[in-house]
Amino acid sequence: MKLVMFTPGLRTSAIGRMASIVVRELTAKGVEVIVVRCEAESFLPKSSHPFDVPVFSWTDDTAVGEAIATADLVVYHVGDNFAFHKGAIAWLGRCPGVVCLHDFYLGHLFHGWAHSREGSGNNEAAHILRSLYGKDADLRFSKAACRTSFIAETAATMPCTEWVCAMASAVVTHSSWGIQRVLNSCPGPVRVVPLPYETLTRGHVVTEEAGVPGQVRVLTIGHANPNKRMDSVIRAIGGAPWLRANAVYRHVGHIDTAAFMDLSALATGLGVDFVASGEVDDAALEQAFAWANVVSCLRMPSLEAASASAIESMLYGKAILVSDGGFYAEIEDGCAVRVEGTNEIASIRRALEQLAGDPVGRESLGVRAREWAERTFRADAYAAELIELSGTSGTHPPFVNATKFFFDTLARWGGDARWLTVPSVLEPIAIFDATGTDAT
Amino acid sequence: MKVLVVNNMAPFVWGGAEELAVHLQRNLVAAGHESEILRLPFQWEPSTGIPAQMLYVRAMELWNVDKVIALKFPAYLIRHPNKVLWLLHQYRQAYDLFDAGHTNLPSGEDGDALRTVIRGADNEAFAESRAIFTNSEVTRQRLLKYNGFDATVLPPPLNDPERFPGGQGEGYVFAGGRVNGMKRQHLLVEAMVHAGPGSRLVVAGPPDTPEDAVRLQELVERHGLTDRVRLDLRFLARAEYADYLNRSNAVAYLPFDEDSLGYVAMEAATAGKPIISTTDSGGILGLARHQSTGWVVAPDPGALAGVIDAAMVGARKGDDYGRAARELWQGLGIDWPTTIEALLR
Repeated sequence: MKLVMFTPGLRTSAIGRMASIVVRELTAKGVEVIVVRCEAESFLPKSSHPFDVPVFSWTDDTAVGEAIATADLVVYHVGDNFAFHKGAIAWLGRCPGVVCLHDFYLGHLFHGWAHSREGSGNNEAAHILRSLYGKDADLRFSKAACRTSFIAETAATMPCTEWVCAMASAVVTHSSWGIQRVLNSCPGPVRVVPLPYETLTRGHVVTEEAGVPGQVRVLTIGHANPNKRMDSVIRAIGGAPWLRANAVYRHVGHIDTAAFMDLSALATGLGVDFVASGEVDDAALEQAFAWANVVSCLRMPSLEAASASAIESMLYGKAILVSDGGFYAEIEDGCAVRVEGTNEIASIRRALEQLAGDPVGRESLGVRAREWAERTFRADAYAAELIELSGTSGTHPPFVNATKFFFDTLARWGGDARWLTVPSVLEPIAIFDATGTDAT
Repeated sequence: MKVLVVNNMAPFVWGGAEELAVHLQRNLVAAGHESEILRLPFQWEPSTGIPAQMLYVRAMELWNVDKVIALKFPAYLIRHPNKVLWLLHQYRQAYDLFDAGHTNLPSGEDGDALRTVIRGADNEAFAESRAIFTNSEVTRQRLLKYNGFDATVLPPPLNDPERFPGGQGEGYVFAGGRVNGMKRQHLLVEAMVHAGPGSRLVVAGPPDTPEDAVRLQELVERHGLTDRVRLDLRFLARAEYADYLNRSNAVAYLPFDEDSLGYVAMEAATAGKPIISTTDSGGILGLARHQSTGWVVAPDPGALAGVIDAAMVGARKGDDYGRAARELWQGLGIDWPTTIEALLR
C-alpha cells in the first residue's frame, strides 16, 4: 500500500510532530509513505521533524503529481494556520483525499487562503462563503477579519469547516464536539480517532524537579494566543496572597512582543513571578515539563479537535488545568482539573490552591492522566484507521465522486449546501455508496 | 453526422414540443444524417424536486454523438461539447411567470434559492452552447432580458405544409387547435352574438378539460347560436383539420401572449387565409398584421364581431389579406431544409 501524506514538517508544528509519529507507525505496518511538506514556501528550507521516508515539497508539481498518481490514499493534515497548510489546501482542491482535521474552526486558514487568491480575477472566496453561510456572508466575514474579535464573531456562524470537509473524501478528526458541521459537509466517511502523541522521551517518565518545597510551578506551552488564558492565570495567582508568594508561572513557546509586554506588565502589577522562555529546543521543553508541577492547558474559546499540549502534558504525568468545553470536556473524569468558564479566575485560583495543598492527590491525578493518555492517544490505532479508510475512501470512491460532482455543480449554479440535505437529491446517489445499507 | 435531439418527456403526455422533436429528427434523417431522440423525464411538482432532476441531466454522459440539439429545460443542461439549443421553453415559472405571480416555486428564501439554481444552471448551459436559437422573438427577448444571452430566432416550420393548399372560402371563420381558456375561443363565440346573421364560426379541436367544452357549449345554447356556430370539440385527424381550414374564409387564433408564431397562424398563412387575432396575442402578431394579412383587434367580443363580419362579406379583401399572409410566411423562409441547415451550421 502506498500513502501520500501532506503535513507541515516544521519543527515548531505540533501537527508535524504528530504526523512524524503516525508515519513511523504506518511504515512499521508495511505502508510505503511519501511525505509532502505543505508549509508556505518561506518555511520549506527550515529543518523538519524526522521522517524516515521520502519527503517532497508541495511546490514540486512533478514529484507530487507522480506520487499521487500511484498512491492508494492521499492524506492531508489541516489546521487553522494558512502558513502551515498552504500546500495542503492547494493540492486538496486538485485531488480529494482523507483530511485529518486538527481544528473545528478554520477561519484563519480560509482568510489566509482568500488573501492569497486576491488578484486572481475571480471572487471564488466570496462565492464559497455565500454558498455556505448566506448571501452577505462574504461581507460579514471580511469585516470581522479586520477586528480582534474575528474568532468570536465567526466561530459559531462561519467557521469554514465545511469548506475543507466538502473537498475531502473522508475526514478523520480527534474529538466529537464539533463534528456536526463535518458530517453535514463531508461527502465520505467521518471518523473520530484520538490524536496520537508522545512525549519527547517516548514513554520514559520524566522525574519532577525537586525545586522549592511547596512551590507551585505552573507552565503554559505553545503560541501565546489570547485563547490560552494566560492573563487569567496571572490574575488568579495575583489575586491570592499565598499563590502570589509561592507560585511561579512560566510560558514556553512563541510570544510576540505586544503579548509579552502586556502579560509582563500585568504580572508585575499583580506581583506575580512570570517568566517567558520563548521558543526552545526539545531538550529545553523536556526540562520545562520536568520543572512544572501544574500545566495550564486552558482554552477559551476552545476550537481544536484535540490539544497536543494537553495530551503531551498528560503523557508526562502532569496535573493539568483544562477548560470545561470542546475537546477538554471529553477528557476522562479524574484525569484533569476542569475550570469553569463563567467564573474562570476564581476557578483557576481554587484549582491551583487545591493542587498546591495536596501533592499526593496531584501526583495521583498525573498518574491517572498518564495511564489514560497512553491507552487513548495511540499512533498504532491511528495508523490502522488510515489504512482501513483506504478501502472505503481511496482517491476516487464512487459515492464521494458522485456527491462531490453534485455539490460542485450546485455551487457553480449558485446553490448552497441545503440541496444536499434534500432527500430527492441524496437518495438516488446512495446507490454509489458502498457502505450504504439501502442501496437497493 | 450523428445528431441527438434531446427533449423532456412527461410520460403519456404529448404536445407541440414532442411533435416538433419528432419532425426535427425525421427531417435530420431526410437531410442525410443519423438522428435519434433522447427524451428525459421531467416532473416539476413538487418544485423542490427540480434541482435533483437538473443534476441528473447534468450528470449524464453522452458518447457516439457528434452533435446535440436540445429543446427544453432541463433537457438542455445535458453536457456535450457540440451542443446547440433550439429553445422552446426555459422554466418560465422562474422568470416572467414568477414576476407575474404565476409560479409553483415557494415564496421566500426557499423560492429565491430555487430560482438562483435554475438561473445559474441556465446561464451555464447557455454559455457552453455553440449557438442558441429560439422559437420566437418573444422567447429571444425573454432570454435576453433575464439571462443576458442573445439568440437567433428560428421559428419551427410546419410539419405538413402540403396539407394546406388553401381553397375557396365557404362562408365561415375557422378557429382550430387546442381549446382552453388561454386560447380564448369563448371570445369568438361571444362575438357571434354581435356579428351579422350571415356570419358563421367553426370551433374545432380537443378541449383541454371537460369544463372547457362545457363552457363553449353553454355559451352557444344560451345565446341561441346553434345554427351559426359549430363546435366540433374532439381530437381531429390532420386531414379533417386541414379540410376545415382550407374551406374557411379566415382563421381566427387569439391566444393570450403566445410565445411563437403559432402553428394555427402558420397553417392559415400557408393556405393563404387571412388571420384574425388580438392585440395581446404575442408571437402571433409576427404573422397577423392588421389590414395587411388579416385583422388584429382588441380582445373583446364587439371588436371581434366586426372583423368576423368583414371576413364574411369582404371576400375580395379577404383574398388579398390571405395572399399577403402567404407571401409574408413564405418570405420568412421557414422550412425544414433551411432550419436543419441553420441548426447544423
